[in-house]
Amino acid sequence: MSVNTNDLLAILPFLILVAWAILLIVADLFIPRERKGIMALLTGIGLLVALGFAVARVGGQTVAFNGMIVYDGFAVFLTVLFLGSGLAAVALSYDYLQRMELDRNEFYILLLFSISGMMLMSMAADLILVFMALELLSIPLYVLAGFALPRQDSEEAALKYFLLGSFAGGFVVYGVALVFGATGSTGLTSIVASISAGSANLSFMAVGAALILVGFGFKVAAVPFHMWTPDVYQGSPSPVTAFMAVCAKAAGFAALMRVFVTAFPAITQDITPILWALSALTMILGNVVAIAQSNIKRMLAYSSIAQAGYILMALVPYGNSEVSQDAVASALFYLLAYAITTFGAWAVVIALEKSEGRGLALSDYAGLARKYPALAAAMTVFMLSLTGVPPTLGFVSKFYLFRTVIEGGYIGLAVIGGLTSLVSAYYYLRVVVIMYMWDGQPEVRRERWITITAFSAAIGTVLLTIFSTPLFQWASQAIMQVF
Amino acid sequence: MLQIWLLIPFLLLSIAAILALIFSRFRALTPVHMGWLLAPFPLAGAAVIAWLIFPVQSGQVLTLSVTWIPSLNISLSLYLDGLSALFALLVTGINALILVYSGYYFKHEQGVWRFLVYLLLFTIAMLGVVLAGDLITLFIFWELTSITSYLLIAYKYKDAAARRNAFKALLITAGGGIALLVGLLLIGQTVGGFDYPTILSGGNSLRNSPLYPLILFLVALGAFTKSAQFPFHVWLPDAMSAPTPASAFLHSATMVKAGIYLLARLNPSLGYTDLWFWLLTGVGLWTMLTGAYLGFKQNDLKALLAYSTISQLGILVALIGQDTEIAFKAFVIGVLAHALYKSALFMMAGIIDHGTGTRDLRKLGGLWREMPLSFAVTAVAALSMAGLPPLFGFLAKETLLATAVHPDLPELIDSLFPIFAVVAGALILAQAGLLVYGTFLGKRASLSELRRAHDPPVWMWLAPAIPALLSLLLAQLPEPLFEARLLAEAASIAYGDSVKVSLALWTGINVPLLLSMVAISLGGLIFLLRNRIRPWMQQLVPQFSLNRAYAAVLEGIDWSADRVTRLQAGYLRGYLTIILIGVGGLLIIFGALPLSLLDSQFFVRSAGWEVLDFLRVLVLLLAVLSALISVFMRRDIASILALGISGLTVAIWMALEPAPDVALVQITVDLLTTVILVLCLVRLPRSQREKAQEFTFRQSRRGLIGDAFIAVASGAVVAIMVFAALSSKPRVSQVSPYFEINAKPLTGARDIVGAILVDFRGFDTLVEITVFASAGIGLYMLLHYAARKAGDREDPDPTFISAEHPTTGIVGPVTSPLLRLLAYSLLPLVMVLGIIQVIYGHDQPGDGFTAGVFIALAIELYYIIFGYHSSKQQLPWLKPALLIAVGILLVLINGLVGALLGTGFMSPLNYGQLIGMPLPEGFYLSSSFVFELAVCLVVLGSAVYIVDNLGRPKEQDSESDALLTVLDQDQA
Repeated sequence: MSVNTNDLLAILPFLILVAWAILLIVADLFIPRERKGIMALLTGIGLLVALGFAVARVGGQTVAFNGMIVYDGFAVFLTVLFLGSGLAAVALSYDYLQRMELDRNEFYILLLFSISGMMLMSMAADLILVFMALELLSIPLYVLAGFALPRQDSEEAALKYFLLGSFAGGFVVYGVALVFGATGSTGLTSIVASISAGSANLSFMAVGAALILVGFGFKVAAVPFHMWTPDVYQGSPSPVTAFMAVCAKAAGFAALMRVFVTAFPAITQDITPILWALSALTMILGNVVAIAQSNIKRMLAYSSIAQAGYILMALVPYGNSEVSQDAVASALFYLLAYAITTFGAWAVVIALEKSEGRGLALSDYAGLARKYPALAAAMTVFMLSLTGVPPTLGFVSKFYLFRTVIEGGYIGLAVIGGLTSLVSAYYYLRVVVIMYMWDGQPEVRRERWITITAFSAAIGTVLLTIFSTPLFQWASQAIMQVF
Repeated sequence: MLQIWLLIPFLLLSIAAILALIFSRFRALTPVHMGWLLAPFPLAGAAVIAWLIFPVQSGQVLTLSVTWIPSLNISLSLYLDGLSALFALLVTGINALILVYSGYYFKHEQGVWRFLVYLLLFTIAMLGVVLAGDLITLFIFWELTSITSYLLIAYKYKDAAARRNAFKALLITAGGGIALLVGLLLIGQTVGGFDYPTILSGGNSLRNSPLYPLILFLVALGAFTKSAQFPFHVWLPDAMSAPTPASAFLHSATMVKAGIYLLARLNPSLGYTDLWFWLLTGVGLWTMLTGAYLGFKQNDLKALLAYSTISQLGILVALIGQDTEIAFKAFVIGVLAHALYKSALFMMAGIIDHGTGTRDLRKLGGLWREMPLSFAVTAVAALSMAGLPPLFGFLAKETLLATAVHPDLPELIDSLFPIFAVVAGALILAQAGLLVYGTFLGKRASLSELRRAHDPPVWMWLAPAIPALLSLLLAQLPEPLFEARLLAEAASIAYGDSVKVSLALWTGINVPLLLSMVAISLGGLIFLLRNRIRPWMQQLVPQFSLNRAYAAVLEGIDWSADRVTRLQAGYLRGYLTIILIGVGGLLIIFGALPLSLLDSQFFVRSAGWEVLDFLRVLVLLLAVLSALISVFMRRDIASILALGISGLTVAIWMALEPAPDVALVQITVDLLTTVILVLCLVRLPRSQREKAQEFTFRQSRRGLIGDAFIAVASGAVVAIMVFAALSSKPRVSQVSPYFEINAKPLTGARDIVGAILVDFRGFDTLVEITVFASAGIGLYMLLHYAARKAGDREDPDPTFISAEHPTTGIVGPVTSPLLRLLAYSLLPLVMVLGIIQVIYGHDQPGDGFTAGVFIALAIELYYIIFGYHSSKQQLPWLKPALLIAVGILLVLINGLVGALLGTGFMSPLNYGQLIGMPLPEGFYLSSSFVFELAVCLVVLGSAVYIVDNLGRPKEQDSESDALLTVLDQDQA
């Protein structure tokens, strides 16, 4: 295996992060027990450095490690998204862990490992590597879900996530094996070559693709592979949930997009109806069930399921080469908007959460607007954005998404998306109504980093809508290398 | 640069909104002051629009466009022509009146600034809708009107009904808005742009598009919900829980006109088809009748006005559907007339409410003496509503009736339209009569409250008087030039061709006049018979209402949400079932199951049986048997051991293949997992485990059968796939030959699997050991605290040194000298084995991974025999974190050496050869060796991490104990 400096450069942010995480394991031994803030700081620095290297590579396009790694605009976009989300997660965790007396240093190390897995996922162009990345990002997440030990629901969350997650991982492996059998290769490049040479067994490939879809459908919480989501989101420590809701989902979509758009356009006929059905089901079920929730974490869990449905919608026309670039760009843009909004919303949730899962009922938000008008206004922005109401980032991203889907010719799906957005207004706006129109005495701990996250996300949600041109340029530059 | 002025009205209104916010800080300012201070802003806005439209010649427009998202071809743009000017003038003008009026209306209330801010925000949104220059801008403002109107309707937010009604309005109008968005996107896609010029010129391509019916349906849905057309009209009467100034503004003059405006705007490109005609005319006429009919039943002044608004909106929609010149003349006159008299009447309803404390017609009556001025204004406005001469409303009705006898109409409508129009006109006239007569004339109300009834302050009274007076004057002035021109311009734009608008009241005796007479007579008759008709109407169909349908839809959604939530019972078994059903469903529904590939040839074996085949069958049977045992054994340890055996049989199968490398890995992993599982179980107290076992098997028969069915079905699906895969397997592997040929020359390895792991896919291995490491750390994290805690709680001393082991059931002291000897001698032996495997990993089966697992297994034995504490003492070098870190860093450094030497990262290097070291034959101090060593270290470290905690966690660790105590207290 000949590897050159170019290859090394391609995975530099990833290497930095992995090496940093390993160094932190060792450093952990020397950090005095009472100075736990250092670890968060060091983690933040590591993420920032990696982010710097990632940003420096915007616009680059490298195929490395004999085609196993593709570091293109798509990977850069997601890498930046993951690293930025990592920073947000650290900001949310720092205060939260202290408040809940969970501040153990392993938290940050596991977070770094998970992020590096996600980064790998975004640039993996080999099915084996995709699976490795899936493991690398998942295993630390399983542990993080159970981080609030010995709280029972946290333990339960970890166990459920782990068992179902490894079960779904099995589907991915099986799918990879079938694709391997059908094409004689696991590299996306060779799979494409084998298809165009006509030596591939397409019906086996379709089964393999369907199974891979199941595995990643689990990761992105698409119906009917979503069942773990509410339980795990509720049980996990809230910053972990926020991280999971954004990054695990984004990583799942990264893999789906990379693999399907690059390697599987030949089996569109088999896969598109499946994607269509999954997307429609996910949007409908996620949105409808969210209405019945009275716990904000569960509500946001179902909301995140529904949002996965919207992103899946972008993938439906993936096989149509005219819109496939737009499909990827709109999905990425949607993910970005979703990430900013979701972290903001979770920051507010964390600000109100108290130990032992108190402060998480929707009714605990009553009167928030009177007592903490700024926080309530921020939450309103997030809820509006999640609904997709102008003038928020959620609207712009949904608009782009619907436009792409309509251009791809799936008007029925767009209509379903529209109607379910309406249903979503029912529960998102309920939070706003409760904050503004009910009487109550909510208590909020004013903690610096959580507040900063909430407000910068709110400002970003609005400002990036008005000045969205650079974002759009960036998203449309996030072009996937096609073989 | 005239276009820039288009921003001025928005700017003025924004300044007003900010001012209203600032007013909240000044306690000295009364609501009246606020109203007066704010009113000039919209008025100035109206003046600017009038000034802008005046020089604009017929057919010309003013546009201002700012690019927003170029890649999506989206810009924010404003657009002023006759049609938008008509609506914009209405919006700003009436807004000024309402602001003054609100000041008086809320005279004695606190926090009115909030209402004023909402009102101004709404005005901005509404102005945006009518001045938007493209469909996207229009949509954005469209949804903003829904949201701001929600705030206005729910202004009295402590009232639950107000909140509910506001929500209803929001849900219906915003929902329609989403349908509209999809429709607008389709329009944009069809004509290639969202701006009006493109769309207006793309009429033919729209009408010819196969998507036309869908587009029309979606756009109409948006417009109908907003403009309260049947069956979406249900929100409008409920929206009357808004304060009266808001109702006067939103639900008569402005918001409900947004849908009308949109339809008129798009008429040139979407209209002129049969579908358009039937949809709009049909819905419009039916809405007109429904509104007129329901309105006559009402006792609440505001409800009555709301229904008459619905009916009027129906007329306007029907007119747009007709697509004739005269219809659009009637349309523009109707819009203006309705806005004038309806806003006046709503404001009067508020004044009556204020003056008497009630809006109930049954309690009111004979107020003309106490409130003469109010009487006068109401009467003028109501006469206009009734369509009586010499008011503007008469003109509106005349032109409406003129369209009814227009010869271009299809036959059915030709006869129906006049009848509908006459009946609705009569009912509305009766409503107007009811309004005036029931309030100011008729039997005097006897309630004591009514005694303090009085006219409002002059300015409050003037606010409705101005539009009422206008509806009188506009009809009287001889051809008011500006107005007629504006109306003609607006009508032409909506029609798509020039329309002549004359405002003469008297056009001679003709059919419309005669029909008008009929309508007036009929209306008068209905009014006279009102005391008989209304109770009858109120009894006739009071039970049925579309509100029920709305409530049923919401309840249905709630119900289904609740039902699906119940699926989420928290049981993993249920979740797994759903996943499996989902997978099966996907494969079956979409026909992805490769049944066609099942080749019958597969079952026919050509060659005879060999010895190995018998062995294979035997192993297979063993695998099936142990799998069955693992399912049916009720003791968990036995199940795990059975599972371990089935894993080992797979290893044997692989060894027979022959794939010794894979078999070796399978064996080691199988052993390791079995040991870890057993250790885990040992950590749990027996009582808990028994409970869990009981729970697993205590299921209803149906549940068990269901589970069995799912298990068998899953197995069958997998079996089918395997059969299909094997039967379509190519004779020559596509993969193996490459490695067989290239392994030795490229990597110097005789063991292909080793070469694949370390060289061909070295990067994968690097990631894999990172995964392994993070898993180890993670498990340590979880177990370190959890196991400690569980041990403390449930089982005071779960020691392995006790006479009888509680779980494994091994009797007698575990640490017999023999066992200790075994442990002592096994570890060095295994170490040697491991080192051999690392050294010759490249040439023989076995590699760093298996070496690591072997050593870890030996160490597990140590832990079991000696316990945690003394194991730690005896093996001081065993520091998992260090092992992992050194391992991964070793891989990276090893890879980097290659990069430094210029052969590339992770390139195969033979260090021994480089330095010239004398080494035994077969052993190369190569980069592969270092790699294997590193893998070994990481695997060992991670495994030890796990065993460290499972083996015997109950040791002194003051820090963790302290933390757990704190957490305990928290929990308590």
